[in-house]
This record gives sequence, C-alpha cells and structure tokens, in this order.
Amino acid sequence: MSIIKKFLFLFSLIFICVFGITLYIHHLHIKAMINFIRQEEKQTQESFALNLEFFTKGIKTLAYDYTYWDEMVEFVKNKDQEWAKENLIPPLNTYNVDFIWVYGLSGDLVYFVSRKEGVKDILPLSNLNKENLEKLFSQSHFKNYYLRTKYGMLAISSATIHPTFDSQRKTPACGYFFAAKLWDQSYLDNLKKITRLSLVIDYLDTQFVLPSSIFIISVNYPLKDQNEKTIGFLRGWKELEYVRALDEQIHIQTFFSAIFFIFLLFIIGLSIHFWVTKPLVLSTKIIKTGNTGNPEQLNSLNTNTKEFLLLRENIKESFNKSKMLKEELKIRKEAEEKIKKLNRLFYLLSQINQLIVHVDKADKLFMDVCRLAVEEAGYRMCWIGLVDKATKTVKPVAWWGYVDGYLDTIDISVDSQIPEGKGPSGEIIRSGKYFVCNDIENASYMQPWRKEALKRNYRATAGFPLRLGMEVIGVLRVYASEVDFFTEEEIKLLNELAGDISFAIEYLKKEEEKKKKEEELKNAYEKLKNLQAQLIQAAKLASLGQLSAGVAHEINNPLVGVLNNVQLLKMMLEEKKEIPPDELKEILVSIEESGLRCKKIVQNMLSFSHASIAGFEQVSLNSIIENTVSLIENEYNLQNVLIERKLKAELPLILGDRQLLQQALLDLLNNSLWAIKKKETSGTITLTTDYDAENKMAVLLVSDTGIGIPKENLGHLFEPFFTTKEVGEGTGLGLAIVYDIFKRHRATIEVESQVNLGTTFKIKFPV
Amino acid sequence: MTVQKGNKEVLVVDDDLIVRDFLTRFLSKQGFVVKLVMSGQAAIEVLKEKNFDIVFLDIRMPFVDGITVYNQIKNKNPQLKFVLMSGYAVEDSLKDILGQKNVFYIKKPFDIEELEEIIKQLK
Repeated sequence: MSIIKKFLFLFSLIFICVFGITLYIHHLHIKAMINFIRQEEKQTQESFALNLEFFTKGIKTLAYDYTYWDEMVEFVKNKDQEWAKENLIPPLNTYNVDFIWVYGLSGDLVYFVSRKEGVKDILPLSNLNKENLEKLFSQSHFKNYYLRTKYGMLAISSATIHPTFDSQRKTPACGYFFAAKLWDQSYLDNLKKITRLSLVIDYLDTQFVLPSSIFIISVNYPLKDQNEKTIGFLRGWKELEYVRALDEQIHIQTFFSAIFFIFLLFIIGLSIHFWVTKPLVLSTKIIKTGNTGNPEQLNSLNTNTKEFLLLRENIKESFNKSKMLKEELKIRKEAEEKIKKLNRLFYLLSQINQLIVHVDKADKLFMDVCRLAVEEAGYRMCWIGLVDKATKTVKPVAWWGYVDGYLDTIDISVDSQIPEGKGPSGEIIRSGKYFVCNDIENASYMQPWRKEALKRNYRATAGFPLRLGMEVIGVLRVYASEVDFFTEEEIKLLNELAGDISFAIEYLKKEEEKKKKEEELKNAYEKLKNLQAQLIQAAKLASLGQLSAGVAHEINNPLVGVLNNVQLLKMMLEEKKEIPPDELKEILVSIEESGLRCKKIVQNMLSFSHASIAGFEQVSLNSIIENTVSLIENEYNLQNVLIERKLKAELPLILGDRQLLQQALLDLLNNSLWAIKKKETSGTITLTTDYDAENKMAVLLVSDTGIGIPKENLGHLFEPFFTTKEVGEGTGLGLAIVYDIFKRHRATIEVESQVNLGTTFKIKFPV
Repeated sequence: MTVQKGNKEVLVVDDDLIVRDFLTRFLSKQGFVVKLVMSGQAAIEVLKEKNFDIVFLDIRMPFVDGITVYNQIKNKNPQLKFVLMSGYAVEDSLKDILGQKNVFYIKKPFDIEELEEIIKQLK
C-alpha cells in the first residue's frame, strides 16, 4: 500500500472518529437539553396548576363560605334586596369574584350582581330551571364548571344553600348559590404576568397550533362544563430563549470546532503531503521511471528537507549511473542489431554471389535473388523490373514475398513527362541513382502508392539500378515492414548487390553472345573451310585463266611457225615452183621448233592445272621453280620484268604437292610483278633456293624490287581479303592461299620489306 | 636478208624469231622489200631514218611495244600503212587505233586468206 493511501486511510479514520465524537457530543447535548426542557415544562405545568388554583380559589371559597348561612337561607325566602346589597356586594372584591347569582329552589333567580361594568346581561344560569338545578347538584353540593359566554370563559363555582349549623350540608338545599369569574383578556393578562406564559383560551372551534420549536414548553388546562364535558382548554406556552441561545451557541461552537479541526487536519495533511509523501512519491517515481523517463524530473524534486535533498543527490547519482549503463546497453544492443542485420545481408550477398557464379539464365537469377532477399534478408517483398525499350515501361520480371497483387496496381514508365514515370523506379532508371524511403506513411512523394503499400504493410522501401555496361536496364526494389529499416550500411550493401547482379547480367549477356558467336564462328568456319577448298580451286583456275592469256600469246607465236609455215609450203607447192632444198629445210626446221615450243608450253600448263592425284610426294623445289617460271617468263619479260634464278644445285627434295607449290609460287610471282609495276615500268624478280643444313630446311627466297609493304600492313599480309590493290585489281585472296599452302607443307614464312626498295618472302620447307 | 619486189618496202617488227622468219618468207614471195627489226626501240629508230611503205608491227614487245611505235611514227609519215599483229584475242589498247586510216589488224597465228586480203589492199 502506497504511503499516500496509508495517510489517506489514517486521515479518514481520524476524520471519522472526530466526526463520530462530535456527533456523539452533540447527541448528548441535545438529550440533556431535551431533558431539561421536559423538566422545565413539568415544573411550569405544576406551577401553572398551582397558580390557576390560587386564582380560582376566590369563587370556590365564596361559594363554600356563603352557602351554610342562615341569613342566606332567609334571603332566599324573603328576597330582601337591602340585605343583599349589604352582604352580597362586598364579597365581590373580597373574594375577587365577578358575578354572584342566587337561585331559589324552584329555579327562580333571587339575586344577581356583577362587578363587571357593562356586563349585566350575562345570565349563564338563565336556562336553569328547577329540574336542571336539581340535576346539577344531584351528585354533590358543590359544582365547579366552566361556561362559555360572549364575554369570555366563565369559571363558575356553585353550591347548595344550607343553614349555618349544617356545614356538612346534611339538610336539604334551601337555594342555590353561584359565583363566577370571567376569564376575559384582563384576567389572562394578569395570569400571564404571574405565570410568564403566553395564554390563550382554546374553545376548540379551530385547530389550535402551538408555535413549533423544541424550545417551547406548554401547558393545557382542560375546561369542563357542568356535564364534565371539555369545552375548551386554557393553553399556555413560553419559549425557553436562553436554552435556545445556549443551543445555538453550542451548535456554533461545535461547528467551528469541527471546521477548525478539519482545517487542522487539512494543514497537517498538506504538510505531510508536501514534506513527506510528495517528495517520497516523486522520488519513487523518478527511481522507477528514471531510466526511461525524463531526467529533468529530478529538478522537480524541489525540497528543502534535508533527508530528501540527500535522497535526491543519491537518485541523481544512481540515475546518472543507470543512464550511462543504459546508454551503453542501448549502444551495444544497437550495434548487435546492426551486426545481425549486416550479417544477414552479407549472407545474402554471399548467397547471391554463389548464385551468380552458377546461374546460366537471367530469369532464374532474378527469381533466386528475389527469393533470397525475402527468405534470407527478411524483406517483406522484393521485385526486379526490366526496361522495355519499345514501350518505355518497366516490366516486373521476378518477385518474391508478400506481393498480393501489388505489382498489378503500379504502372511504371521511364518517361519523365507522364505521371507513371515520376515514381521511384522511373527516377532510378533515368538517374542511375539508388532510392530510399524509410517511412512510406509520412513521405509526401509516396502519396500515389501509399494506400496500396500500407495495405500490404510495406513501411519502407529502397530501389537500385541494374546496369548493362553504362546503361540502366532495370531496377531492384525491396520493401520492409518496419519504418527506418534501411540504414546507411544496408543501402551500401544493397547497392553492391545491385552491382553484382548487374555484373551477372553483363556476364550472362556476354556468355550468351559468346556462345552465339562461337556457334556462328563454328558455322562460319565450316563454311569457310568449304569455301576455302572452293576458293583454292577457283584461285587456281583464276591463276590458270591469267596464265592462259599469257600462254595464248606464247602459243600463238609458235603456231605461226607451224600453221603459217605449213600453209606457206602448201602455197609454194601449189605454185608448182621448185622449192630450193635449203629453204625447205629451213621452213621445216622452223616448223619443228615451233611444234616443240608448243609441246613444252602445253606440258607446263598441264603440270600446273592437273588435279593432283598423288598428293604429297618427294618433289624438287628447283624443278617446280623452272616449270613455273617457264610458263610466265615471256609474259613477264614483255612487261619489262626480268626473272633471275639463283638455284642451289643438289637441293634435297621436299615432301610436297607439286601442283599446290606451283600455284603458290605463281601467286608470289604475280604479287611481285604487281609490286614492281606499281612502282615503275621495269624491275627484277630474284628466285633463290638454298639449303639450311643446320635446320635441315630447304629455303626459297622470292625477292622483288617493287614498292614494298608498309610496316603497318605486314601483319595483315596473309589475311584473307586484305588487299592494297585497287578495286578490280585483286581479290585479296592470293597471299592468304599462299600462306595456307605453305602451312600445309609445314613451311615457315617470313616477310622482309622496305618501302620503295622491295620485298623478300622467305619460305623454309622441312626436308 | 632483203628481197626486191616492185618498190614497196616493208618493215617487220617482232621479238619472236619464228614470226619474223615466216613474214620475211611470205612477204618476199609477195614481192615486198622486207626489212626486219626485233624490238620497238629499233623500229622507231629505223622508221625515223627511212620511209617505209608498210610496217608489220607486233603489239606485245618488251620495253617499247607496238602501240608506242605507232603513236610515235604515225604523224611522221602519214602515208605509212600499219599492219598490227597480236596473239591475244582482244587488245584493249587497240580500241582507239583500229578503224584509223592506214591501219590493219591481224591475229596470230595468221589466217592466210586474211593476210592475203590485207596484202592485196597494201599493194
């Protein structure tokens, strides 16, 4: 039970006790007062009765004294008025009686006298006849009764008249005597003076109401007629004013005592409250809530009580200590939370990185990233959207967690001109920067999405750009169910994560392209291989065609020698002229030489163009050179290009395809011819063979005095379709085929060239 | 080796001995005075010194070819008649020359009838 309650209880108890005691005293006082009043009333009644008796004693005494008197008996008989005047008027004053009546036995009024002026006709007995009188005195010789008259209540004493000796009234009555006192106002006033009561005669006509107060005491004297019937009351009362004053005084004293006591209690209570309970309660409260509450509260413990000042200092000290402890705990807890969260994120990162290493499809990667983000990192929802360039919109491609149709409620565009493009995702894609909103409910810019987001308990969200190279191609969005979920570290790691995903997208794209390219390359290679075979053949035929043109000329000249000489001979024979034997022989020799020349040309050509059946065989490099050169030498000479041969005698045979080698050599020669012609009108091609005994290589050098090859082109020399020739001059296939052919012979090719001085091809064949 | 025949003098220009031999023999039999040279250079020199009536000129020759010889000589002697000879089917370089006055063209080996026809016109 708290101290306040205890004090309240104590005070209530004291209050109730005091209240009870006060009530009890009051009760005793009232009781004593009432007893006193009753006693007073009783005394008053007794004294009133005595007074009344004293006042009525006059008429009773008169009625008694004057009725056993012989003179009175005589008077009734003789009715002597003189006597009456002498004897009956004086007693009025002596006995203080107002009226006297004397009746005879037959009911006749013998005498009437009144002391009251103006009251002559009061004849209360006028209705008395013999019968009534006899009846009145039938029980007793004396009769006291009251009679109401118009002047007031009449107190009557009556008696029968007897002779003097008969005081016992044994003799029959001689007449009747009535004495009366009128209770008029003056009478009552006198009585009042004596009794000190307010008096009134109640005739029972109306309900008599006494003034109501317990301080009023009253007396009621019944007034009875001759028949013992109550015809009224003499009522008297008086207020006990001093008692009332005393009572009021007691009341006031009690009241003020109570007030004073309550006030005292109040003061004591307040003092206790301010000096003890309040500081105590406050101290308790500060101690209780100090760790979480406002430390400023301490200042409110404003007291000058020594003990509490000490307590305040102690609280302050312990409070500071606990505050420090608490802060330390808070920091530690926060750090732990942070570490936990970061650990979770790191785990997510590592999981996703593993995924990136193993995944081979972007769709699967996206879905797995979303799943891991929700399951491992505790996001409420995660989705990935990609930009559709055609519609300029962002299409969600993967999502996980509590989605509940959220993605259907949002339309995202990358176009900043329309409302759908002004959202976080659109902004992320345009700017390439991440986005964080740690309080969806209160961020004004989240208004368009707030209702749907809060419906699904998304309280915070963040978004990160996904890139392909420099271009932003999508967005990674995460949602959390807690406000302020995204800390700086978290954002940093998520940004890294988005970077990793971007890397993966790029990697996957490259892989895909690589695969595609590999496939294409493979196909192209197959095609090329086929084409190459065809090309070699075609190039061969092309070379042949070129050759044919030269050869045609070569062969046409000897044909002149054969054909035209024969025709000439025919003409000469037809002329039937004798042909001198010398001349004939000359012609025939010419024909023969011409024929032989034709044969040689045809042979060389055949050896070139025949498809090789044997394939690789032991061939002589020198003979291949001779054969090839013989085909073109004339032609070259015609173009002012000399072909010099420096052939090593006894050169070892090499393993090769004669036909291919001839073609390669022809192409090299053609190349040299072109290079020379490009520079000037004439030049020299030198063909050299040698034997490198050390490396067991047969070496062929083809040098020309042509334009040379610029350094930058040397590397491209053997690439297919690389050419410096003008359009129409060459296909760019020549040297590529040459290279291919020599490679087939496991030969190495070196090129040395100086611009404007010439080029040397050095081919080394293994022996 | 010269042969007298009327007063028409012929210069045969060819680098091939076989062709030179045949033409000498054939033209001599037709009564032309035939002189031989074996290069374009020699032909230009000879034609500058002496006026011939006809030149049998091979187009394809090393260093100085028949076209060069024709171009250098045609204005010097407008009366000179040229018989251009070639072993090639089509000679692009002849496009501008063929159809000119005093220019004839014949392919090797010679069609004897065609040759005779040309000689008939030359006489």
